[in-house]
Amino acid sequence: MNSSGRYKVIAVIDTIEDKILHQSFELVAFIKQIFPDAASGVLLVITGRNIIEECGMLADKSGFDIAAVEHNDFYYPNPALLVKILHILQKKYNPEIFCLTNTIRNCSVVSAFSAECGFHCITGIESVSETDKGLMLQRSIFNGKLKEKVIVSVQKLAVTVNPGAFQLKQDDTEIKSEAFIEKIEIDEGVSGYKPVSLNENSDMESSLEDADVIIAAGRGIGKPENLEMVRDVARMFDNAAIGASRPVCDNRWLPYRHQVGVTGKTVSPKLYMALGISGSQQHIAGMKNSQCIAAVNTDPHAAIFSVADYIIIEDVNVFLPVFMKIYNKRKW
Amino acid sequence: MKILVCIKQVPDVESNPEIRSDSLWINEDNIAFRMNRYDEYALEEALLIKETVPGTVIDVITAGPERTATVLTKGLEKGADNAVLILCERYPLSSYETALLISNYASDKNYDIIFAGVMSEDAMQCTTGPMIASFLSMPCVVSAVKTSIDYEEKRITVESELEGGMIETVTLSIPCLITVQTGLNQPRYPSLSGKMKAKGLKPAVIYGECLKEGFNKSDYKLEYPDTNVNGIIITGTTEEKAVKLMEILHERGLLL
Ligand SMILES: Cc1cc2nc3c(=O)[nH]c(=O)nc-3n(C[C@H](O)[C@H](O)[C@H](O)COP(=O)(O)OP(=O)(O)OC[C@H]3O[C@@H](n4cnc5c(N)ncnc54)[C@H](O)[C@@H]3O)c2cc1C
Repeated sequence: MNSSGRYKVIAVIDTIEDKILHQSFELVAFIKQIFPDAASGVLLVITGRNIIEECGMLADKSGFDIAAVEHNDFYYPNPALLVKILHILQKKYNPEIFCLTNTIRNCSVVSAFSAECGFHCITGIESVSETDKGLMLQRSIFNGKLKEKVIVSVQKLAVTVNPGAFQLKQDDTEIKSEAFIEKIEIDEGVSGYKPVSLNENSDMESSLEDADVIIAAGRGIGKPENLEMVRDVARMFDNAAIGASRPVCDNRWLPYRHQVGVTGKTVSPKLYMALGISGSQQHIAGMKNSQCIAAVNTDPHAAIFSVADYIIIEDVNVFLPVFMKIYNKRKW
Repeated sequence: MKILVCIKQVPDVESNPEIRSDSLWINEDNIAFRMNRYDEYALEEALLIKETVPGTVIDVITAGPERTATVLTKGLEKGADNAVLILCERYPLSSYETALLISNYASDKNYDIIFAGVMSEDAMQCTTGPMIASFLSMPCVVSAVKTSIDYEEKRITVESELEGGMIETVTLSIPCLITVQTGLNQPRYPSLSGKMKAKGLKPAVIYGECLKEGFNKSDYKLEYPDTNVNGIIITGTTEEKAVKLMEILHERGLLL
């Protein structure tokens, strides 16, 4: 425990089935950016059914104090119960900021908690910078077409931080100070909300991850008939598969197993060709590590171009027939 | 069943929106507006319940300026029974304000289920639905991809999507709030008879007391993203671009 009896920052490390999701370590990088020497003022919260064993490693890795909260209903993600825990921690430690990883569940946690406690809630933070008026937080709106910048004082703030936005540096994780591990007891869960089971989405099984080349279609292809062209392009390559953005699957143009992104597959093929895909952060999260990205889009400002190696500003339905014609004429 | 569906009207921005001179919002001239896509799925889920549970009544609600009433009309055309516009001239509202206005309205109406979209396409915060639930002390589940109601038991089983291709099944007691992810159904178009019926219906208008300004104006602004691209822009005629891309892929040994 730090000497003041208070933590400035409380960060929640995500778990599923009593396992830590390592992505949430990035919160440590975020915290270090806003409070470079905050170590003693930071408490990491970790929840699960039997989670205490994970805590030693977490304390070693972060150098921060840990609060372990065990409850049967925390075996699966449980935002309702987590809100209750944040209330307990708020009363106990009166922190200035709660930080969580930006997931859909954590957004509901910070919003419910903020609404109840008069905290200021900001989700989906992608970068921070210091200004003389306070901390400036940046997030995307309009599918990344605009950025929103908010200057806040770090007081009564509950935020979610985008995965991948803050990278841990080697030395961030090698602090070996004496961290304190506290176990927080809770008597009962919450009524009215009960997690029952957790399953792989069976619609998702696919060989996308094994493909060397992924030709991916977005809403911009216009209609399902145009997928035939996308398939023709895929046939130009060895071991190629068809990928899709979410709307293509929502519209039932392709089954969900083709979906790439945060709620679909994460892929890193040798070539990812994005056809009529705008490049929402949810899509980019699933394909940005591809070795080579070529994108075709009519909109010169499409966000997909920010991660593309080759940028083609064209109508896919005009470009693909020409591309195929040239391929068929070529003899290498 | 008494159901409330929260709907937001969002700018339809295919190309780049222009930031208004005060940097607080976009320039609305020449912008078309439409229903937030996630809310289309939320409304459809309510309409599907109405088809199976006799006596179900669906109210649609939005908070915003006069122009936002168009999404309520669309809701009525699709089959909602009543519409409520909480009129607020200041725009945009923060999700906190919207949630407070909607929950104030809903607090004495005994809704069994409140549906909302998981996110709005303009603000992208994923916060309004859960805030409404918390103001009304209702259980809430986010990102529903399947719902099934056990009316006898007053319970709903919801499959809720997680990042990374996982589905969590949860049960909620009624009344509750559910935020809906795209794809769990296929939103209908308004039928001709629906359109005729809606002609006779007008949204009820209540005046939203606009709350404190969420942010100090000087502490908030919109900006264009950094448009620097690191990649190579392939230029020329369509044909030339196709040839160049083909050569690049060939050089990289990718083409068959
Ligand atoms: C919790 C959550 C999880 C999500 N998970 C995912 C996910 O895993 N994967 C995912 O993809 N999305 C996901 N989404 C949805 C995501 O936010 C976007 O809505 C989606 O990625 C947009 O798909 P799109 O690019 O195909 O469509 P749009 O954003 O509509 O873009 C279409 C693009 O096509 C271009 N275009 C139009 N016509 C043409 C033409 N003729 N030729 C060339 N270009 C054209 C347009 O300029 C535009 O850039 C998720 C959303 C939420 C809230």
